[in-house]
Amino acid sequence: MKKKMTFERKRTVTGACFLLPSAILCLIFVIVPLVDIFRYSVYEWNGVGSNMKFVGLANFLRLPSTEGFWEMAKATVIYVVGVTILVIVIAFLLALVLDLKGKGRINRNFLRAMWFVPCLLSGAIVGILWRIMYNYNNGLINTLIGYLNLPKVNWLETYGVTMGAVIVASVWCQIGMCTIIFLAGLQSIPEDLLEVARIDGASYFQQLRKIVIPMMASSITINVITTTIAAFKAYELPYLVSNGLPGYSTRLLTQRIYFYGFRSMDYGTASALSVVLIIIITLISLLQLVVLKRREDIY
Amino acid sequence: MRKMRKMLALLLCAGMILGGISACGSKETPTQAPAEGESKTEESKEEPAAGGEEHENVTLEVCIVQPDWSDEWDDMEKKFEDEYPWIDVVSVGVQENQGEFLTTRAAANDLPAITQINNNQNVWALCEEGKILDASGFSVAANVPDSYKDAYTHDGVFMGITQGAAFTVLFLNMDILKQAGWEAPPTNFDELIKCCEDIEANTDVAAITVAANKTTNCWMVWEGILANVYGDELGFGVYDEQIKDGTFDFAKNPKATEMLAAISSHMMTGTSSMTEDDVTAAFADGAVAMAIAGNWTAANICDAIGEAAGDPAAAAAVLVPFNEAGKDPWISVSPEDAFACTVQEDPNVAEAAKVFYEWVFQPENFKIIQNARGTVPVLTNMTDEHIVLPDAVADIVPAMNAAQYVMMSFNLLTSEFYDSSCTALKDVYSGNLKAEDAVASMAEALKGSHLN
Repeated sequence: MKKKMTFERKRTVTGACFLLPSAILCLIFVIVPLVDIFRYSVYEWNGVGSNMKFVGLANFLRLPSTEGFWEMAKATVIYVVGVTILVIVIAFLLALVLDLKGKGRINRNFLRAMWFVPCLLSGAIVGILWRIMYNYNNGLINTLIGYLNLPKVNWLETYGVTMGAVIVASVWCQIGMCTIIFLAGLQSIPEDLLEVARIDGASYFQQLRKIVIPMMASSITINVITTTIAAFKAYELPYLVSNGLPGYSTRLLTQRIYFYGFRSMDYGTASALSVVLIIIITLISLLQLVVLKRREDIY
Repeated sequence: MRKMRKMLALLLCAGMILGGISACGSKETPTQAPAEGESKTEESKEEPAAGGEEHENVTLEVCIVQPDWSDEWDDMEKKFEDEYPWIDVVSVGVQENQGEFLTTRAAANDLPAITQINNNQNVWALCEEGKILDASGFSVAANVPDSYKDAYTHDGVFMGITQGAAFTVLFLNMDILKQAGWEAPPTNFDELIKCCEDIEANTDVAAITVAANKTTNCWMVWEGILANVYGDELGFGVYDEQIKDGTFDFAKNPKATEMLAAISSHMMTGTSSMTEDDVTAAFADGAVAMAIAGNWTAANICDAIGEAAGDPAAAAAVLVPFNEAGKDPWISVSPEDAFACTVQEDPNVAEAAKVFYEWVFQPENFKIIQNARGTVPVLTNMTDEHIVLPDAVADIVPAMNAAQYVMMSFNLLTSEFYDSSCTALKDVYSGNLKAEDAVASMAEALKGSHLN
């Protein structure tokens, strides 16, 4: 006699079947390379040959003494902090503005779409565009500055300024996605709640502080974590804007991974640096998750 | 109905997975020409080739570095495909990052059949792994001078035929120099610096620049100085050997450092991040008077100068005058990128690659791209009727052939060395670092970076 599947079991099997495709893809394209990275990090290997020499932790131990390592680590931290703070703050303010009710001269949906467009462009295109705009001699930005009779700025060769230029380009590219998430969060706040607060005499900023921000805690958590991870992983856009100059001041650790892997043909060191970066990203993301989740729970 | 929908969804998912996996599988070289050749393939899978033989249709991937000859490359490619309809050439432009490109493709065991290569450690690694075909077996290799063969021989394998000779040139917009009171190009280092000062004093354009964004260009300024300061003292070939052995001392003679500081102080703002296209644009805008650049950029730069001055004759080129007054300049030279055949498993692709390789280096074919690039050819069977160089470069070829030279050395060193040294040099060009600090850091870096 054919045994009938229970409803629960059917649900489980169906769910598993639907999960299987993405699980297989994830295994092939994420898990296997990840395991390989850990394996390569303890070998000396040029990436093309069959000779792999086990070197233990030597690749990790040489990292701190490699040329420019600490400058690049510092640049990475500045970049990640700068991009994350600016993206979150600007995207939040932008979402508040785009969520304003009432008739404007320009359609709100059109404005939202406009802010989202940079997210659709590839980082390589955005990087090249900003690099052209930052050109000292004939770039758009210095031309505009010239119209104002102000002195030109050497955007791509000045310590400090160049990192700012790179961060601005990255923020411009990433801001749209965060804005959309914040907008979704704003629109999920019940209008009644705000109306009650207004009747009780709460000012706009009081509503913002006491109702809007607490109720958007989960949107903030998502945006902070995804923006931080994206900033740690950033490669092509910062590289194409500044080429890591001046000195090592805008060269990120991801660029060094590429350098070791594909220019130096030193897969071992490249993998070791990748492992370090993976661990840092994981720890920071977990920390953010714990802190922000606790905040969400309070509210 | 619900079950049907679920089944359909599952089937679609399975299809997606299989599609994804099969796309990542080992590469099956297509044996039929796609796209444009689609009708061609449908008509016949086997077409009579040149020579009356029959062949299966083959797609041949060729990687080229230079973007500045792409139109002419297309012309040449079309000519080849007309002669060999069974071979569909698919060209991929990789620009100067061909080292990384090839390393990545090699890691995926998917090297293009023919590729341009540079003489550096990435390519040497491919050669040592037996992935580069020995080009000495091709009949066209007989037309390459031994010195160029030696330069591209590694581990006993002649890796490829170079497309031309590369050397460093000072390009000048004589229209601007005349405004600054110079009727003729400077002939030694002191005159060069005086010329820069006069340009800055008498015109509103920048004196000199270099496309420092490109490693070769960034290094060639410093190497030109080294060649002239140390060349006579060390004699021919010694500099190259000492660089290879890591025994050369950059800081030994302070004169080289002083010269680096002097020339850097006249560099156009933005030089450290400028690409070759940026330099060409600066000339076209009339924003710079001189540039130290490779002869391979001659065609573009000379056109740009002619455009800015409204007179093609305003473009001039001389060997970079880093020499003392009364002495002839030393130059740094190297073979340009070479064309290499990679080892292919598919015999049809291997045969097509051989046919293409032999065909490209026939003078009447090679001249199409050679003349577009304006570099000095090295093939001994190319005659004057095949070679059309820009006037400015043609004028200095005799001087280049007669000049004392060092080999462009940065390819002889590790990528860590030239990355750190070019980073320091770019900081000097942009005024962020003192020349003596950069030279000291390069001297230190060289100790652990030689390949011998």
